[in-house]
Amino acid sequence: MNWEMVAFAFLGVLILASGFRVITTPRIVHAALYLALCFTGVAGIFLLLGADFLAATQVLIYVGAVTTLIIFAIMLSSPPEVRGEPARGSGPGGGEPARGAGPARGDEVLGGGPRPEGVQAERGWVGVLAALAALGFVAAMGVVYRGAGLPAQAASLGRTTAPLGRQIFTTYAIPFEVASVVLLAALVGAIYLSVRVPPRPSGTTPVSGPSHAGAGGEMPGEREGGANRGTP
Amino acid sequence: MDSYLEVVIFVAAGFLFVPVTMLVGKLLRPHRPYAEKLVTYECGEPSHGSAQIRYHARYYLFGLLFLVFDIETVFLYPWAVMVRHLGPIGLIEMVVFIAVLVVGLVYAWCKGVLEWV
Amino acid sequence: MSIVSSLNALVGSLPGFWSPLVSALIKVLLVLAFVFGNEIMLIWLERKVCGRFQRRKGPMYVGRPEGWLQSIPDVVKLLAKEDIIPARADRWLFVLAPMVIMVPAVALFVVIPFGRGWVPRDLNIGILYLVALGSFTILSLFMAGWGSGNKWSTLGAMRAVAMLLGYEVPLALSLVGVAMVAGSLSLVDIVHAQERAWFVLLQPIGFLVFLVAAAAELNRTPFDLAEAEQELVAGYQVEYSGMRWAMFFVAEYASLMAISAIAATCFFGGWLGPFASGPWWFLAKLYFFIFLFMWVRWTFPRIRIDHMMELGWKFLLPVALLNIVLTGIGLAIWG
Repeated sequence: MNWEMVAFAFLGVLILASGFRVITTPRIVHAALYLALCFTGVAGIFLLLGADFLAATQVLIYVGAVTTLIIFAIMLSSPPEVRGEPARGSGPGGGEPARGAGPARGDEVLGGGPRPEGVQAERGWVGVLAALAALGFVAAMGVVYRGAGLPAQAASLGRTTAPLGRQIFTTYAIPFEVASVVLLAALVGAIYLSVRVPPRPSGTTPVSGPSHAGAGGEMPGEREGGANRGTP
Repeated sequence: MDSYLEVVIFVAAGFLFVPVTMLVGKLLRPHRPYAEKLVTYECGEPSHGSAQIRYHARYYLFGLLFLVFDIETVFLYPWAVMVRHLGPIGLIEMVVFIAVLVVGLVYAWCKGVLEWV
Repeated sequence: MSIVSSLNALVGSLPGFWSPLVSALIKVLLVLAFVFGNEIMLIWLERKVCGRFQRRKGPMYVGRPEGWLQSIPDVVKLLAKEDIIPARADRWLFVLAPMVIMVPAVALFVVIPFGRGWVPRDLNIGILYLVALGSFTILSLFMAGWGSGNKWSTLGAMRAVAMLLGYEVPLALSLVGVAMVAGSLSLVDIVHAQERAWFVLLQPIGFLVFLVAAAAELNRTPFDLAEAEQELVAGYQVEYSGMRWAMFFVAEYASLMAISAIAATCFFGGWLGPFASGPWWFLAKLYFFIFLFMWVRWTFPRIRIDHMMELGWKFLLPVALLNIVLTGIGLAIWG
């Protein structure tokens, strides 16, 4: 009986118990969180097997991303308390005024937006200056990278990460590229299913409620949290 | 894995920090609950309805975007460590991989998924 | 240094498998003492910084020069407050959430090198480990908000999760650039690779992306939409009171220290300095970044949630990806 056996027994019980609770707990959010616990236990098993990279990946992708996705899926389904309740105030006029549904709203972050016409000549100068600045940046980077004296390879390469990198990008390069296509397909499919009508046909019209409607009726957004208050 | 003993101990310390502190606090703090005190806070008015409202599908789409780019990140780390050994071929492989996923981002962008309305 | 070596000798003399266990326990105690000792000062510092930025004086009375002991009576006050668990709350989640949020806050410090050889444990997957721990923060915020059984806290939690998702990716991608330049994920290797030039010079774009994404991950004011006192009262913390509420605060400041330490290690050379390298350089850089985040917090107003999401997905993510490609090209030409 050494420490590894103790850790393995503990993780095994944790995984089995949480997995059992996933299918027996009556509250669906609890099931999702038990699933996260189960994933964490599996990451522990990977760690025991010496696969530390895989353990971190397990936590990052399964505990972080997949559980979050499951939770979001639960939150967009309708709980029994809300079912059969009229969705009020979710029409185009129901939004918060503070959200500023005016045109060109999406451009504000990137500093875009309509420009006056007299700016054309100045824009040429700005382009030249930007090009010069970019050249200067590249030159400065060249000097810095040359002078940095970077080690060709760090002293202590992991037993897991570096061999994994070598394998993925030489032996398994094609499956790796195919993985990106699979991910793209998943993304495009989900977007296609959930966004029925192109929300911005002319490029300026703000998204209105019904374009996001799911199966059968309007989806109460987060804003309607307040609108649901008047009912039991 | 001997080298992860510290991780286990630190995780346990973080996890147990709260109950230990709460236990210490138990000696000092009062405990006088009554029905009004245990009501859910809602700006001073009696609370109405359930907290379980439906949320918009856009949350789900952001979650999916996150999942896709999270997986990309996981592929990027072993590549980053080996980038100077793999040479230009490795760089091209990764640029293709990133480009395919950026197509997904651009698609989401054009469909208005990235707008938080 | 002599204390460390004598401790090592003492621990090494223990029999069998007890020696690594005892050494790990000593490390966790030292790190906890460092983190919470500094945290007491940080809370005071934040109030002083806030006060001065608003042309006030901040706390002045407890602790003679400048009220530097103010946090201690605050802790006692919080300990003496009643612990209320609302009747509608999901008791288990409500109690578990602060415990889960403390896990990443403490565990982040495992891989932080405080000085040459002063690291609790140098992991080979260092950066990935740091990024992976962020998953637990996301989960715990949801547990706190949903477990409270309150509309506003659930709303705050959903926003917090959506927001963290958007900034977790740029944060991880900005650190990929660092890993590329250093050729390793271990934070000790990363510091050693900066002997000639700090990585802020080699990764200026990555550094800026990291700073913005880190400020968002910390949930501090330009990006504190999850709490947003004026609209959501306090987001996922509404129903928490007393010491249980304080745990979110403690975790926030521990994360602030951890993120500042990561910035100092990955971009500013960690314990390395132009002269007399040592832990004091690390400490100075740590406090520089902490002050920077406080400065930002008390200077900028909160940004709107749609701007926030667009900044993350439409600007930081493409820029971070571009940075990776450019770094790859740069390494191919000049590396």
